[in-house]
Amino acid sequence: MSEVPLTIHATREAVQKGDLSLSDVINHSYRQIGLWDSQVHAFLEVFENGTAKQEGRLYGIPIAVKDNICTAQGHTTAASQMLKKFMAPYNATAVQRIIDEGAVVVGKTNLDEFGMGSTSEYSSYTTTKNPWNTKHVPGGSSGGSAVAVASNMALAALGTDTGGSIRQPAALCGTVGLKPTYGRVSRFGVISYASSLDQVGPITRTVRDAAIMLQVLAGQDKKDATSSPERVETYESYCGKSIAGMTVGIPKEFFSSDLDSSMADIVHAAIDTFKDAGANVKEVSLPFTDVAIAAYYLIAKAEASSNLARYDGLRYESVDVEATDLIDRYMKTRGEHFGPEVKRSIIMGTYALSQGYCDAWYKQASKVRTLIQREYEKAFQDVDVLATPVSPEIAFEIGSKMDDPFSVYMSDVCTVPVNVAGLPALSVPCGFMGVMPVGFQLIAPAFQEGKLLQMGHAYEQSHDWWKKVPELAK
Amino acid sequence: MTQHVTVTGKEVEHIASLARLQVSKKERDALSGNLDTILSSFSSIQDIDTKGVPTASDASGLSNVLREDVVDGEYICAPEDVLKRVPDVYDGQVRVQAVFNDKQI
Repeated sequence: MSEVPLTIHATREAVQKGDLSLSDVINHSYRQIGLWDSQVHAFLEVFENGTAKQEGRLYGIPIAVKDNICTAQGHTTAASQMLKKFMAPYNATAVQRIIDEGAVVVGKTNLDEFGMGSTSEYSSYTTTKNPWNTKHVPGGSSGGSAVAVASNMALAALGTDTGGSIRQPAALCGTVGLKPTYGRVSRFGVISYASSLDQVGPITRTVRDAAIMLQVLAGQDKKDATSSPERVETYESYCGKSIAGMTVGIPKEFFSSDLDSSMADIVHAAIDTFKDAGANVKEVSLPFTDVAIAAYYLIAKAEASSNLARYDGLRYESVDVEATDLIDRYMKTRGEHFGPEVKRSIIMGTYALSQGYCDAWYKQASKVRTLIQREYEKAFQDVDVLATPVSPEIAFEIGSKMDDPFSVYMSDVCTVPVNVAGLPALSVPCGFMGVMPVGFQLIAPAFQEGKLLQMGHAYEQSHDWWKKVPELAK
Repeated sequence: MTQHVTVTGKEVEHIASLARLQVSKKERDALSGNLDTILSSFSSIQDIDTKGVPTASDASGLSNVLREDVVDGEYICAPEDVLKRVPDVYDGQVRVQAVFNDKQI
């Protein structure tokens, strides 16, 4: 057997040519999981002996699924004790679409409970570790999905991105993460965190693979009223298109003094690659960037407090509590089975929505959201895409920020504005600081994922960061 | 400009009871401190002039359309599939503790 390639694209070719069999591909995935998952804890549940149900564009491709996305097979826990025994009665649309194209779902990956966190440390089951240095976090909340791809346990993974949860762990683990436009991919069967911000997307090793995945995932779904009827483009056709004459905007607010200077240098070097390929680069200003994080957290936590009201202990399997009456049951079920960040979210969100505070906090945040959306619309009159860092720093040590939730919130400063504005964005590996990977972010106007893939793929052609595999997973 | 926002332990208790969330005294105090820090830092959002600016609902730009009021089997999860996941079922229905107990009546 020849070696299983790192990408979906190359694996499909090798299988078509007969150099590899489908069982070689899937066995390689299970072997990697068996060898390394006890060290990195990417998976909450592995689906043994998976096989392709039918032929298709992802025939025989092993894919991992974040555990807040419903699968008819196995458990869907959202990494919460509240859903410890929950087995979903159906597949989420995103999962159904990859299965219908022949993908093999190899298991469910770890995350911060209900997607709330940026380190994967808020999982109530296990702490996922960064395969580049297992003392460090993988980022989050889709940490397990990013680690599964980085460690060659799956050729791609599904994640969800409410404020950076696909892009940030993808960057911190040296993989590609794509957050599609709000409404581009159906949210049906995705456990809601903040319904106006959540979006499903792929984590892959290359930009071309992200295009292949998006092609399968994108499109309207009658089971999700917020999924968009906007036409689905042929995404892979953007990979290889010239970028000469395109304009890249650099929003100066994303390169503030809080950004690690080595990180800034690496991101600027990545942007220079676009100049070399004939693109224009210009500085732009997005003055509301500073307040985007406040608007984001106020909106996200308000929506979360409402979405999480459904966990009352009366559905989604039994939750053991001794209760004297119904209200007591609600109070104890929620008090005993939600973790610290989820409780913080519910309290903050309920506060922001409560009488006397709603106008000053939630409604003001929602108005500022309109201003942020307008600011991006205006910026895109002059540029095709924006280029920024993904995270202000590389993956930090596990446990180092556990007592400081505010500083963890601030680590999302470069990714949350994109969700607030509902735009698509792509995180692409662009170097290392020591042994830890660094990524940069491209942001495009709504439904112009093609431009992200075009620019990201062009970058990837002149660098081979994507070929680097952590020592641990070799 | 950021201003100092204080959310007292008593306020946290009140909010927690509205949210049907039991919090211990230790959690209450920690949450009060967390909220002080987070909301104080976020308070600069209140300085932004939003006079005449509409609230955003979501980013899709879609407007609401009602579907026809007809049963579509594709939307429906079989009742037995749903009830299988419910902790306490009686005669095809979800059984819960009494909503109105003696104390309240």
